[in-house]
Amino acid sequence: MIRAALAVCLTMSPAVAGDIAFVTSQNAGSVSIVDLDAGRVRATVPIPGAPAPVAYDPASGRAYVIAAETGELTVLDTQGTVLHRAALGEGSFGLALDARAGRLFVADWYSARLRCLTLAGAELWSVPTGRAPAGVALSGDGQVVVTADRDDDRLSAFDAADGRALWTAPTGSHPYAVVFHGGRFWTTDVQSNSLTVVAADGGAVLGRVATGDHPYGVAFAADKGFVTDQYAATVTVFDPVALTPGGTIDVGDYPEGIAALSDGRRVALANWDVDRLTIIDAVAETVTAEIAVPSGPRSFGLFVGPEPTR
Amino acid sequence: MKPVLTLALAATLAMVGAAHAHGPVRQKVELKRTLDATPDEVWAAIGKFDDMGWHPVVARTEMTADSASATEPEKSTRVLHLKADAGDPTITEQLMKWQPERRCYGYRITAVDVAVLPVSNYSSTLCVNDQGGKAEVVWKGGFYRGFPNNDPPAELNDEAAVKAVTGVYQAGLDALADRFGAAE
Repeated sequence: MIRAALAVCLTMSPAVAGDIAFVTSQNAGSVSIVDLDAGRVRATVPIPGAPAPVAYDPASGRAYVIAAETGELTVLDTQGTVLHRAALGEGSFGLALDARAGRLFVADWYSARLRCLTLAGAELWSVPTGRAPAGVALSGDGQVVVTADRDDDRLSAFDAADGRALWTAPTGSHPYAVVFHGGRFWTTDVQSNSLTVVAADGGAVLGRVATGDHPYGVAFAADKGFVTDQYAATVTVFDPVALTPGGTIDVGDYPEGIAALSDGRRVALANWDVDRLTIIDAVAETVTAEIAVPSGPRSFGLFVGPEPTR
Repeated sequence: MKPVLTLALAATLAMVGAAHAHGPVRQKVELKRTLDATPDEVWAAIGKFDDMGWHPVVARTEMTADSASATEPEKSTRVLHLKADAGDPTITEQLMKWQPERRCYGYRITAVDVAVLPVSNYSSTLCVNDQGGKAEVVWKGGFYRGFPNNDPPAELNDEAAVKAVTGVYQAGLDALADRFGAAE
């Protein structure tokens, strides 16, 4: 009994549960769960087939990971236990999670479709997108889902309930990641070194922000935006209201997936070349921690969040 | 006849669809070699973007006409003419990062026939680090395979890409070890 009580105490002791990150290491073929307060890898789980896309649901403590080579979905808990696997079909790539409605949205890169699935991977509906859909994002109200159609240089928006096409919006060249923030979708234009900003309601293009060479991911913290620049080995900081670039932060080569911590003051990014998870203080715009992870971390998606309180 | 025609059409469509796509898994290769020479000596030999003459497969380095210098990122572009029994195989590369104070430069391939080097979206960094007074050459690259879609032929798959890039780096580092001596 004493041991059990102590364990509960230790679990409960932080006033707010700390954040964890699910790092997909594509070249190593694994997912690592990183305790961001302790600054260490808690567990590494082998996932065959080059895992890259990931979505974490802090409410349930479950993460959804897709292996890029096979399209297999793996569902993990915060300790690294594999709870479920499902074959989604080759070409399955970017994903977004609607935890409230219990649905996943997965882009099919090869057959140019967006599929809405149950959390177990069963298809609810499927609709055509533009060519080579990469990233997927859901609006904050859960009503609009978009794909970044890389080879058609556009965003395609759909009604999240039934897949009805809503609008398309032109982007720069080769949009890849897309996220929702503040009523807008933000997509990285990999080949034109910019970020395109699109109104979630109606799809009007509201502006573009210049980034570094080959932008990959985008995240928001401390009232700023942060873009990973793969080739420049920098993070570009920008003003999400004025849509103007600010400073840059030097990181290792090929910074890729980036996501905000729940404190709203830090961002974490997967640094593909140097095999590190890098933590940035969003206020000071400095690197505060670097945590070694297995080879080729990408973490394409919303891969960070608090552990569920027990 | 019909099955043959159908197959041919399917193959054509597959190629059209593949024109700008790539398999979603980027590969990485990194090779290092510590040499019996100072970092400055080795950097003097390999730290010129307009001279890849230290590499045994490069016959000639030509800067493009619009390259005003060999030190301007996003502008300086070189064409490597490779040694070959026939033809004039080339690799065109653009400078991305120029950091002589760190003895590093970064570049990307802007044009190459996959028959010459079976890669796409290739970028690379060449650095000379100081390891206790000795030069440690680090050459690393990130790239996709030469065949952009799923089901690549063997000569254009991930393994072929990694093998080819490893061969290029290995040959260069071996030549430097012959020239300066290996420290290990």
